[in-house]
Amino acid sequence: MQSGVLVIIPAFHEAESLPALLPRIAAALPDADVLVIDDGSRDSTSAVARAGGARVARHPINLGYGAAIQTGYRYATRHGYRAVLQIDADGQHDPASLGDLLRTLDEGWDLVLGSRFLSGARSYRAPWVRRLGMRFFGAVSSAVLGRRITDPTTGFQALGASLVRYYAEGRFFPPDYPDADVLIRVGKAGFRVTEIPVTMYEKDGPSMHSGLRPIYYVMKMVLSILLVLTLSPPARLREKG
Amino acid sequence: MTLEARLFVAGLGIALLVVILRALRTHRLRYEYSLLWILLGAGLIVLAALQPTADAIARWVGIDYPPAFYLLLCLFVILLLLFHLSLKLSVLGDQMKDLAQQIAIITAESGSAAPEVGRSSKPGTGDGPATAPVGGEPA
Repeated sequence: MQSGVLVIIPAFHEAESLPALLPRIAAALPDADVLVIDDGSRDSTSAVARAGGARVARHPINLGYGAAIQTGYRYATRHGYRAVLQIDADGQHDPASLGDLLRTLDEGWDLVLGSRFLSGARSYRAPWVRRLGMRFFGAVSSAVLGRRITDPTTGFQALGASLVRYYAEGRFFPPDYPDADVLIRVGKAGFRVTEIPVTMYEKDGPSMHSGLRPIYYVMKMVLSILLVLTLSPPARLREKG
Repeated sequence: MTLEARLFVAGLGIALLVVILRALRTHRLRYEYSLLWILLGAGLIVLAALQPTADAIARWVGIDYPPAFYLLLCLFVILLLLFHLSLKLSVLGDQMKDLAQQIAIITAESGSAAPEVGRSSKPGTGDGPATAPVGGEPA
């Protein structure tokens, strides 16, 4: 009998970080199944993940972070998991916080965000452009959700089955980076969202917010949020009970 | 516009239509993509045939120099074509994403390695056989 909990790890060229990460996840949640979504890596990410005891869903081509986690949601929906925990493969997220995320989810929330910025959270300092964006879009999401959201871009999350299905089936789910716009949509659809403090470490390597990306990011987010706000609430896919 | 110029424009329109129809006949172009192109070719022929009327329309919309009006019309049709292609690209991108996700899920369920697109013959890429137990769904 499985726990009904699936940990999904989107991974692109993470053969070096996975061997350290997978045992820590197994230690934190021994009963959970682990699915690594290899987003078309050209290194040995898939083999390393399998060797570490994880199941591997491998995209034959690189699709993007959002598409990778959506593959995880689709897998979870097909297999009837009651909860999905989502953690990045690069070691930025501390698996020790997985238990807290799951416990909070079990208190009756649909989405629990692991925040770097809530009091109690440690060890993370983002580049200023990213910080500014997160601050602004966090404020917009907080206003719409009626609840303070400090870290709308976090990839460290716990999701209940009905939200997982909503994401798995939604044409709105972006293939690149789900962000405050998705959060706002989720809030408008009536899902219950909360945040808890988690431990996060600064990422090494190139940021996704370098070059012209910040300009594209801000434009996309503004447009997307405006569109989401003008839409009528999307059909709720929640299950009874 | 002189008679020669009108014949030249009509000739361009006819040549465009011939190219489109040949591509359709040989199934190198789908019908759904051909309609806007046919509209463009036919538009050139109509413009050549009814040039005085087109000139009158140009002045009616407030453009004193009719060739500028023709260029504007052509530009509009071309932008329409580009937008049509962007729509099709978005659909194709979504379909490709769905397919790749489906392949990934099926391979995860079967425990086999997904095909490596464009490099299937390259050995030693790290995708060996499954070494960990796969399967076992939650009840």
